[in-house]
Amino acid sequence: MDTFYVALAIFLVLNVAASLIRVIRGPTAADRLMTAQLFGTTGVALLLLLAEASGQPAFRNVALIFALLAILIVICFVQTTGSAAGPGNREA
Amino acid sequence: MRPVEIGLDGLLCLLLLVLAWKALRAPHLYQSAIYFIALGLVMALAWVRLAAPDVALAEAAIGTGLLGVLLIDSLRVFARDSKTDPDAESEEPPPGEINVYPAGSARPSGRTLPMILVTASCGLLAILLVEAIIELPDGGGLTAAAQENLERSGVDHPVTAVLLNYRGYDTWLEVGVLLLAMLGIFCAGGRVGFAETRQSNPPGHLLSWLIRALAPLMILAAAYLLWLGKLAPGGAFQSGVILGSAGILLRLAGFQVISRLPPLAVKLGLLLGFGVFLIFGGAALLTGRAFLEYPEARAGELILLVETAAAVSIGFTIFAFFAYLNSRDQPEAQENHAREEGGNQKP
Repeated sequence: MDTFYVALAIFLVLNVAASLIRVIRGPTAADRLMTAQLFGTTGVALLLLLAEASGQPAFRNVALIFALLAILIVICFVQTTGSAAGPGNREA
Repeated sequence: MRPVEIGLDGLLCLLLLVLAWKALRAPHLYQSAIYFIALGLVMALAWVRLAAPDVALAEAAIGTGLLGVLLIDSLRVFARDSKTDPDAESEEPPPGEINVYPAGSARPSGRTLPMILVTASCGLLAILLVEAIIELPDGGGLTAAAQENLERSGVDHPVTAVLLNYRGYDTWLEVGVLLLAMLGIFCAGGRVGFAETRQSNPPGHLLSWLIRALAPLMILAAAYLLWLGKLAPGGAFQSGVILGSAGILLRLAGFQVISRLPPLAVKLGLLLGFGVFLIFGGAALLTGRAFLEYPEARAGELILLVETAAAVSIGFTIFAFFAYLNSRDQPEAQENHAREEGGNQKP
C-alpha cells in the first residue's frame, strides 16, 4: 500500500513539473501565478500521501499550513494589480 | 530504500535544481518570483522526505504565504518606481494590453564582479557543507544527550527542548535578529509602515467572505501549532509566521490592524519576545542559575510563556515588514505618520 501512495506522489510531482510550461509561456501574469497555486494545492495532496506512506501524522500539519497560506499570494496579486489591470493583463 | 522512493526523491531533487536555475535565469523578475515561490514549496516537500517535519513546517509557513506576498508586493513597488522614470515611458505596451509589471520587472543585466563573488561564496558554502556531512559523528552527535535529558527539559518534543531549553540562547538571538531587521526598516524609511492606509481596491463579496472564514482559522492554527510544540513538531516560529500572515491577509483586504492599537502597544508587541527572554535570563542570573536556565519543576510552563511571547513578537514583526513595504510611498501614509508623530510630542 505504501508503494501505491509513493507511486501516486510521483505522478503528482510529474503533474506540477508539467505545469511549469505555463510559467515559461504565460502569456498573462495570472497564468504564471496559477502555477504557483498548483504547487500549493498539489503540495497539500502530496503531503497527505507522504503522511500516510511514512506513517508520520506530523506531515499533515505541513499540509494544513500549505492549505491556509497558499491563498495569500493570489489575494495579494488581485488586491495590488487586480481590478486596475483587468483580466487580460500582460506582464511583458 | 525502495525503488519508488528513490524515484520520488530523485524527481524532487531534479525539480529543485530546475526551479533554482530558472529562478536565477528567468527573463523577468516576476517569473523569477513565481519560480522562487514554487522552489519554496518543493523545498518543504524535500524536508518532509528527509523526515524533518520541524523544518518542513517552518519552510511551508515562510515559503507559501509570506515570501510570495513580499516578492509580489515588492515588484509592484518596482513597477511604480519605473513608471516615474522617464526612460521607461518608451516601453509602453501596445494598446489593449495592460502592463502589470513593466520595465522595472525586467531582469537587470548581470555584472561580472558580483557574479564571481556570489559564485565563489556559494562554492565555499557547498564545500563546507560537504565537509560537515563527512565529519558528522556516528550516532548523530548530540542526539543521545538531547533524548537523555528530555524528561528534565519540561517538554516532550526533542526539537523544542533544544530550541527553548538547551539552546535558548540561540532562539533568543534569532528573535533579536528579527527585531534588528525591523529596526533596520525603521531606520531606512521611518515609521511610515505603521500608519496603515486604505487599500485602493476595496474587497469584493468573495474576498470579504474568504477573509471572514480564513483569518479566524489562521489564528486558530497558530495557537494549535504553538501548543503542539510541547509534544510534536511545531512551536513559536511557525506559529508566529501564521499569525503574521493572518495580519497580512486582513491588511490586504483593507482592514485596519495595527493603527487600531495605541503606538505603545505596538512597540511592546514587537519587543515582547526579546524582552521576555531577557527578563527570564536576568532573573535566572540573579537567583544564581545560568543565563536562561529554567527551574526544573516549572520549566514546561515557563517555556510555554516564553514561546507565546516569541510567537506574538514574530507575528507582529512579520506583519510590520509587510505593512511597511505595502504602504511605502503612499502619500496618505505619510500624512498619518506626521499626525501620529505630532500626537506623540504631547507632554
